[in-house]
Amino acid sequence: MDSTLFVHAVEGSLRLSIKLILIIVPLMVAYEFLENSKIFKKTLDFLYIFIKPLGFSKQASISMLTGIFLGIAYGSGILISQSEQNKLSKLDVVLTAVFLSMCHAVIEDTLVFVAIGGNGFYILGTRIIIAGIMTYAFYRYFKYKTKDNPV
Amino acid sequence: MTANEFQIHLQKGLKDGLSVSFKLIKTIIPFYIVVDIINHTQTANYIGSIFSPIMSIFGLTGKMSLALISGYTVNLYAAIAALMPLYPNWREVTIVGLMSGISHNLIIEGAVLHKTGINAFFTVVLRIAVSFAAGIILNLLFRVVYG
Repeated sequence: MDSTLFVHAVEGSLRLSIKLILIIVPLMVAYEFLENSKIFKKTLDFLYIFIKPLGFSKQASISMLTGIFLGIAYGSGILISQSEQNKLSKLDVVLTAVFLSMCHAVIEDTLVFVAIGGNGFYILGTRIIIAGIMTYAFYRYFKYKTKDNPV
Repeated sequence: MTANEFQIHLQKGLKDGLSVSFKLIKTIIPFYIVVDIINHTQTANYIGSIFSPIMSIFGLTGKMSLALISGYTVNLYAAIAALMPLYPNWREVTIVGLMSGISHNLIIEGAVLHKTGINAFFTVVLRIAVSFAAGIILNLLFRVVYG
């Protein structure tokens, strides 16, 4: 193998890594401050208005919102403990899994693609809208099913 | 916010940022090197020509299939690492970002969701299907808006 090819590849990978660190570290610091601010809690309350029509209970929405912003590992951690304590209905669990499987850790995911030149508005907007539509479809489907055949 | 709280948040932010960066570098360096080298060989053209008809419906080139496959099986950083040596434009970055954002790290995350009592096969198939649909929709939108 040509050694200049390898050097070129290593150089490119290091350059990309440094660029991403320089963008991501300040963004994560800013996000940490935002997450602990009063505005963030108010935003969560505000977002619940949009989640409610999709069929979630208030209890489920806590793990939902955690998962959306922080990632499936945190969100599902709460989700698993809540489902084990039987705090959530079967419907809640299914809907949360459907939504979160497509839409989680959106801040970090979007930021890394914005860092390499993507358009964050399209990435985030399309993702949330599609996950919302899919969840609503499942909600209607399960509601219809459980009417004839209560769980 | 007190000075003490400020310091705690600053430290946690830096710690989180560095931990994300570290995860990222661990994946990016090997993937970038492999894809950049493949890209300079005949194999890349071969892979590109096989996937080019499928990828064109997402507005991506055939070679970018490597980025999607890396994202689906490993994670987003692998997708980025495989994408960057191909010099993508912002539309391609956005579409790969959306598609791999919806559907990534399928093996591990499928296992996590499985613990909540949801069938892992179901979520994997659902996410791949939705990510394909999202790619097609966003590509169509870009064509309408930007020509």
